[in-house]
Amino acid sequence: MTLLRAMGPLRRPGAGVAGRSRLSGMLRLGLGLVPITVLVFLYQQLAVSKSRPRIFPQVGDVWDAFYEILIGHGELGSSYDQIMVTSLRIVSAFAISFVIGIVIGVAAGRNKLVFSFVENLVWVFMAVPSVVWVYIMIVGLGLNPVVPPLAVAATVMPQFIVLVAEGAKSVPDDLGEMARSYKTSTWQRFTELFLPYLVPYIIAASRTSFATAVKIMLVAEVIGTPSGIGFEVSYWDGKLFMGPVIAWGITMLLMGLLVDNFIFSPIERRVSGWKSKPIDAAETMGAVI
Amino acid sequence: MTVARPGSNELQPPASGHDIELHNVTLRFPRPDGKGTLPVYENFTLDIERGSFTVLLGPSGCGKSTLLNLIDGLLTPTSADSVKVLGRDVRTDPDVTRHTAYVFQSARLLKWKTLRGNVEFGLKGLGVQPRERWDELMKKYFGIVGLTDFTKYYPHQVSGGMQQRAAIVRAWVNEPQILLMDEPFSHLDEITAAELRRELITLWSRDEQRRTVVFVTHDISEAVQLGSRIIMLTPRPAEICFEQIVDLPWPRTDADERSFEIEKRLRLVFAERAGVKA
Ligand SMILES: Nc1ncnc2c1ncn2[C@@H]1O[C@H](COP(=O)(O)OP(=O)(O)O)[C@@H](O)[C@H]1O
Ligand SMILES: [Mg+2]
Repeated sequence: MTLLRAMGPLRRPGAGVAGRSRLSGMLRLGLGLVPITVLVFLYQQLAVSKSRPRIFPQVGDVWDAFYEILIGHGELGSSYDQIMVTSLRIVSAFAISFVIGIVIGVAAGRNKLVFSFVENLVWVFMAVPSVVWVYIMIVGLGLNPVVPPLAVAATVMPQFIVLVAEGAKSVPDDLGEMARSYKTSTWQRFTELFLPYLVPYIIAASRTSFATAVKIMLVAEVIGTPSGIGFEVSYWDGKLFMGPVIAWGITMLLMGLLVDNFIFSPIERRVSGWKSKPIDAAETMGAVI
Repeated sequence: MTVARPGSNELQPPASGHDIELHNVTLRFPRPDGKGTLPVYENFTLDIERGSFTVLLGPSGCGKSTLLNLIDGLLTPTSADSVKVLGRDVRTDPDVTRHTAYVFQSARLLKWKTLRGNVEFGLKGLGVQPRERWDELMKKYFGIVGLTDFTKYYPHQVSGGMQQRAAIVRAWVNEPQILLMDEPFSHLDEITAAELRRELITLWSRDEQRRTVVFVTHDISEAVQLGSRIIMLTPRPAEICFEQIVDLPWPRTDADERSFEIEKRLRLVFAERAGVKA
């Protein structure tokens, strides 16, 4: 068929990629475990040599503390209550930065006036450490339970805004021109062009923001509240018991990993499905060419 | 929203017989450095008859794309007596550009939509009714360009030639009266481009009532292969420096004595008039 001969070779990036990425995923996991194992081993040697179990708990001591957390025990009440409190704070901090980040990010990315208005503000927010936010807000609001989420949101929001604005700014003009040429409504352009283009940026922003939120929520809680994981950490730190401190740190790390793997990853795979769509019509092609 | 179909009263050619009328169009872009303006058109006038295959030939940067954007209502001129499409001024009657369709230099497909999804994007934008007709229209035009088996592919899964074919389907599927094509084959390899030129001519000459095509290129032999009328533009501010009616049957080849003659003449004029101004 002459028509098809002129079309040139078909690109099939989808085919085979799925299988390969699953394999390299396993490999990545295995490779990732090596340095961690080495670190744990070295730490264990150090702890044994120091033989001061409160300040240098051995791996077994940390595991015991972690086990206590797992089964819900705790001197300060059920560990799951603490986890719940902290999770809620992280989620609300994330939700605040998500909503405001998208609104301001999109506005700044699309409108030069808004951009220059927001630009310096974002820099200021970026430069202020979360600890400082906590103190500022404690002065303003007292030892209020909303302080940690607000402080974390204030710290995380700037990077969210920057990433989304970057995406909104980079929507190609030629696609917008094409869409206008086909007389699409503002709504159609927003839902079928702008948003799909922006989604990868929003997901990237969500992932980094969430990871940062998990990290700094601990700091905010240590200073700002009498509850949550941060409170546990400062309590055990005060008693010079490092085992539970490390165990709570690991708990937090696992929470972050769980959310990233079981919420953000699947969403990302879903929305960028078109990139790796395997071609089911391979046989058809063979028949035609 | 209903859109008039070809053949309805609304689409009778204007009394002038010209589907496109540009009279005394002036367009100046602000310079990026803010110092003054860049005149692209000064009192430019051009009429394009219904059913013609008009090729605009000019050096790059002379304002060819800009002209198509003016016709499609994507740009507003600094001043003009008229910018008329089908007898109606696009500045006061922007809806009339629903009867124009645009094929760009690059395919400009949405990469997260399938080829079919991209064509539907256009149909939906233009408000083509009833929706039940979409399938029939798409089937017809995907078939003509040989994409029937590829409608479910995403743009990155097909070659550049196939992407441009999909863009042509998106433009043609609504059977618009006027087609604006901006160097649509310049990104393709020569063999694919030649094939698509042939298909384009086939597509265009199928209809008894031919559509009006305005085709932009800087390639002289492409102009001679396609155009029923060739208009040569000078560098900015663009003026028409030469016009040629090509009264030869399609498909045309370089081997044809008469098209070869025309091409030779165009090359001479092009070098003399449309070359870069010193
Ligand atoms: N939006 C714009 N703003 C300012 N200058 C522009 C704009 N679009 C095009 N130009 C300028 O106008 C001239 C004509 O551009 P164009 O119509 O794209 O030329 P071409 O004939 O190559 O298609 C060029 O010098 C270009 O730099
Ligand atoms: Mg151009």
